[in-house]
Amino acid sequence: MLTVLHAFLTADRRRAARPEEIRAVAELRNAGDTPTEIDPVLISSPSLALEITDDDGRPLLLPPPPLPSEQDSRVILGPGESYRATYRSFLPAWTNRGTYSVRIRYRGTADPVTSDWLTIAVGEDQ
Amino acid sequence: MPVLEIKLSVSSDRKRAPEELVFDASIVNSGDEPVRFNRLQAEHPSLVLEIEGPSGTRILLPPPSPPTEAEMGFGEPLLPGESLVLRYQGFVDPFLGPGRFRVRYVGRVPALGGTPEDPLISDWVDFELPLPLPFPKRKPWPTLWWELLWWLRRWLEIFPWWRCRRTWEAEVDEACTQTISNAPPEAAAWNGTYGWRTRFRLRVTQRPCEAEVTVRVRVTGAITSAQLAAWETAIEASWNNLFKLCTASLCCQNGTPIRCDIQFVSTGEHQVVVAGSSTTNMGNWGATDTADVDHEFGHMLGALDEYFTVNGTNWGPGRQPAGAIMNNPANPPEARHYELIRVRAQNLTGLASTTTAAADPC
Repeated sequence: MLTVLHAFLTADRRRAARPEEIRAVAELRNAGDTPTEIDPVLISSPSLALEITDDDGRPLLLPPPPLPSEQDSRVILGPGESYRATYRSFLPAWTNRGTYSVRIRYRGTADPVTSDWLTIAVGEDQ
Repeated sequence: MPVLEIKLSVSSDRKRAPEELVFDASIVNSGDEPVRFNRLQAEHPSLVLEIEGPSGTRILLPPPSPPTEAEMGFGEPLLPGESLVLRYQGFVDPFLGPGRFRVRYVGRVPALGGTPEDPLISDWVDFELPLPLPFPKRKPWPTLWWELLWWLRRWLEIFPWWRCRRTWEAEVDEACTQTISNAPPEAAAWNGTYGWRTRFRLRVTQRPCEAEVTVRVRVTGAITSAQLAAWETAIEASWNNLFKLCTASLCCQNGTPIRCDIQFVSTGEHQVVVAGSSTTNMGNWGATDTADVDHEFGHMLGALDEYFTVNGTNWGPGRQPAGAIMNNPANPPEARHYELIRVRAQNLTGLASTTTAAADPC
C-alpha cells in the first residue's frame, strides 16, 4: 500500500503588467496505489495553499483566508487521480512590481506537500 | 540578534514657536545582524510620533500623505553599528498651546523598527508651546478689535445654521496584518500571517450628519448584473446604519450614522475581486455567495478575523451562533469593526468620537 500525494503549480504566463493578470492552476495528484482523502478547501484558497516570497526571500502576505466551513468537504482521490484548483487572481492588487517565487503548500496531510517553486514577474509585459 | 535603539532629542530651543521646533531621532542598529528599516516611512511624523498634552491627553496628528511605492515595504538594511538620523519639524499644530507637551517615537511595525507586541519606543521629550495666534503682542487699539472679532466669531459659531455645514473627505489606505494561531489540527492550514490593504474613501458631512464609506471594487470573472446587485444588497444591509459616531460637537448631536457603499467600477478601484465558484478570501468571492462576502467586506474596512486566535486574542471556533460578522457572517457587525473608520473620521475632523449603536443616544 503506497499513498503518495504530489503537488504541481503551473501559470498561464510568467510575466504580467498587473498582478491580477497571472492565472495559475494547482494540482494535487495521487501517485500511489491506494485511495487518499484530500480537503479541496485547503487547495482552493490561495491564502491557504500558496507560499509566495519576493526576491529577498521575504514572504508576500496574502489576504485573510475564508472562514472555515462547518461542512466536511473532503473528497477521495483514487490512484492516478488529480484534483485541480484554478486561481484567477492570486497575487493581491497591491503587489509591488518585482520577481516572486510561488509554490503550493498543501497542509492537509501530516507533512505538508509542496510543489516546485515557480518564478513570476509583476510589472513587466509578457 | 537584531536590536535597534532610538534616541529622540530636541534640536532647537524647547520654547520656540510650534513650527520652529525641531526634533531629531537617532536610530542605531546595536545588534549583530542587519535590520530592514524604511527611512522614508519613518520620516512621516504622523506614523511614528506620539504627542501628549499638558493633562496627559493624547494629541492626534493629521493623517499622513498616501504612501509612494518607495515608502511601502520593509525598507533598506541598516547594518550592525550603522545609524541614521531622522528630523521632524513643523508637525506640531500651531494652535495647540500654551502648555507643556511631550513627544516620543513609537515604531509598531517592522518597517519602523518594531512590532505591535514589541514596538521601538524612545523616551519622552518635553517641550513647551507658547500662547497661539490670534493673540499677537498686545497693543491698545488692535487688541480691542482682535478681541471683538474673536468674540463675534465665537458667538456666530454656536449657531448651527452658520457652523454645521462642514464636509471632510479623504482617501484611506492602510496596511493590515493579522496572525492566526491555535487553529485546531483539522484547520491547522489557517495558522499563519496574512496581510492586505484597507482602502476606501471616507466622507464626513454635517448636513446631513453622515459618515459615508465608499469602497470601489473592480470585479473580474464571470458574474451577472443580478449577482452583483445581490452582493451589493447583502453587504450594505449588513454594514449600513447600525452604528454612528458620537462627538462632543454642537453639530450632529444625535450622532453621525456610518453608511457603507460598495460601488462596482471598471477603473479607479480600491480593491479587485475575482468572481468564482466560492469565496476563498478577500479578493476571491463566490458569484452566488451573499453571506461570506459580507465578512470579506469587513476586511476591506479594516476588521480582523475573529475565529481561532488572532493577534493573541482567542475567539474560539468560527461560525459560533452568537459570533459577530467577523466570526459568523450570518450575524451583524459590532462597534469594534468600525474602529478604523472611527479613527480616520476623528483624524479628519479633529473631533474625538466614540462608536455607538444607531438606536442608542449619543
